[in-house]
Amino acid sequence: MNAPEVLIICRRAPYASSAARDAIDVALSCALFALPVTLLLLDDAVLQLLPDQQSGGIGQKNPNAMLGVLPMYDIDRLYTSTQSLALHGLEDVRLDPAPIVLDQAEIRALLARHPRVIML
Amino acid sequence: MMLHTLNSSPSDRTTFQSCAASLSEGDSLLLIEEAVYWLLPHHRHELTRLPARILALEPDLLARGVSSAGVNYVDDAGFVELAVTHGSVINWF
Repeated sequence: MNAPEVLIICRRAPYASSAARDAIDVALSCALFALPVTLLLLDDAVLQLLPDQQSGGIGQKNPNAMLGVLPMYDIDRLYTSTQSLALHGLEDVRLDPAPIVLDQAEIRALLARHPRVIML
Repeated sequence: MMLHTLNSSPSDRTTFQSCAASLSEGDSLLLIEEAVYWLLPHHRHELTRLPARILALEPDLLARGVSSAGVNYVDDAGFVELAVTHGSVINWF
């Protein structure tokens, strides 16, 4: 039997709550058990991808670095939506790491093929 | 003369609108935490019609990768200075 694929959806800005860190923790935990993981950043969570975040001054870990290491754990599907980019006018901004951008139909298809969804 | 602090993201319009409607001439509005995203180019124009002086907290700008270009910003000591030099402090969150 194939391992069930897990879709993690995060909708929160970095640092605002533990949600952004929790999403990465859950993704890494799934990877530890060889569960295929996809991470979808929606709404304010797209702000986790703004480049050059220097979080030392607020005593937090840098989301660019934390998301950037996920491919080393075979988590290489990082998605966002056109709608989320448009919310903050980030369509033409270089994001770090760069996500795959999906339209609403593609988001629905992504949800439809993942029986296991974790919302954070 | 009041100091208003706002900490919510532009995705929370209700908090912004209540804060904006409460500003008087001479007040200061300090953007902290997720409110520094109001300074992204896409949102910044909404601040221009506010009567208050707009400031941002520098560690929060840096942490979130938001450019400080053209922004008045203060560090933590500056935040304290603002708090003691204004008659009252109102936190919008």
